[in-house]
Amino acid sequence: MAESVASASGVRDGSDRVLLVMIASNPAMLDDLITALLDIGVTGATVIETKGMGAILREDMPIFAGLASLIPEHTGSRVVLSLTTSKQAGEAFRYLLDELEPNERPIAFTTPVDRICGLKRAGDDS
Amino acid sequence: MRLEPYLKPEQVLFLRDTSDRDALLTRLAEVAAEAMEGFDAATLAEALRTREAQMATVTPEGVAFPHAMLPGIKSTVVVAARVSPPVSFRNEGSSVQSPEIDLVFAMFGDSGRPWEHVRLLARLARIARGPGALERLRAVEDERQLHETLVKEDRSHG
Repeated sequence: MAESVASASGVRDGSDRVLLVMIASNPAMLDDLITALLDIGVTGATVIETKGMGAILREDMPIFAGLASLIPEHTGSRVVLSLTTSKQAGEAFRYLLDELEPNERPIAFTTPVDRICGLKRAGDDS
Repeated sequence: MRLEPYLKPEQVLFLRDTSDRDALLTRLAEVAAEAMEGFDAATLAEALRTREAQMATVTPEGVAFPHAMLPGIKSTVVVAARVSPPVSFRNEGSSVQSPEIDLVFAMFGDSGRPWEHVRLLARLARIARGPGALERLRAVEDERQLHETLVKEDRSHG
C-alpha cells in the first residue's frame, strides 16, 4: 500500500542514490570541481553560495567583531549538492583525494537517500 | 570519461607556421573530415567558426577548445594539436582579452548526444588543468610525443 501511494505521488525509492555534498571554502576551486564532476558523469548539481559563520560574526554581530583575528579570513563557501550514484560519488572522492592537494580539498561527504521525487534525468544521451 | 579511445594518432598534430585562427580551424576540420563519413571539411570548419563567433573557446592559459555539434555525426572525433608559433583566437572587434594559443583540442560530435560532448569537453579541460600538464604538453617536439603525453595525462586522471 505504501509503495503504491509513493509511486502515485511521484516519490520513488532512493536507495540507488547518495547525496554528495561538497563544501568548498575556496571559490576558485569551483571550476575544477564542476569540471571533474562532469567528466565523471555527474551531470546535475545545485551550487549554493553561502556565507560562513565567520563572516556573520564579523559583519552582522558587532559584539564579536573585535574578535575578527580569531575568525578564518574567508567569508563564504560554495556548497555543491548532487543526488548521484554511489559509483560516481566514489569516483568523485577518488578525484578529491588523488588529484587535489590537502589545502585545496573541499569538505565532502555522502549520505544515503531513502526517497526521491522531482529528479529529472539529465546526462543521458540514449 | 577517458580521452584515450578518441585519441587517434593520425588526429594528433604538430602544426608549424599556421598563419591565423581561420587557417587553424580549417586544418582541424580537414583532419576531422577524413575520419568521418558524410561531412566535408568546409561544413565542419564553418561549424567551428560559428561557435567561435559566439564566444571564443580559449582559456586564459592559452588553450583553445573549438567544438561543433552537428546532427548525424556517427562517432565523436577529437583533433589535438600543438601550434607553433602561437596564434590569436580572439574574435575580431571583441573587447575580450584572450591570449594567443599554442595548444588546441577540437571536438566534433553528434548534436543528438550532447552529454557525450559535454563530458569529453570536461575531460579535456581536466587534463589541461592538471598540475604541470600544460608544460609537459608544450615541451613535445612532434606528433608522436604529443600523442604519448596526452595518453599519459589522460591515464593520470583515472
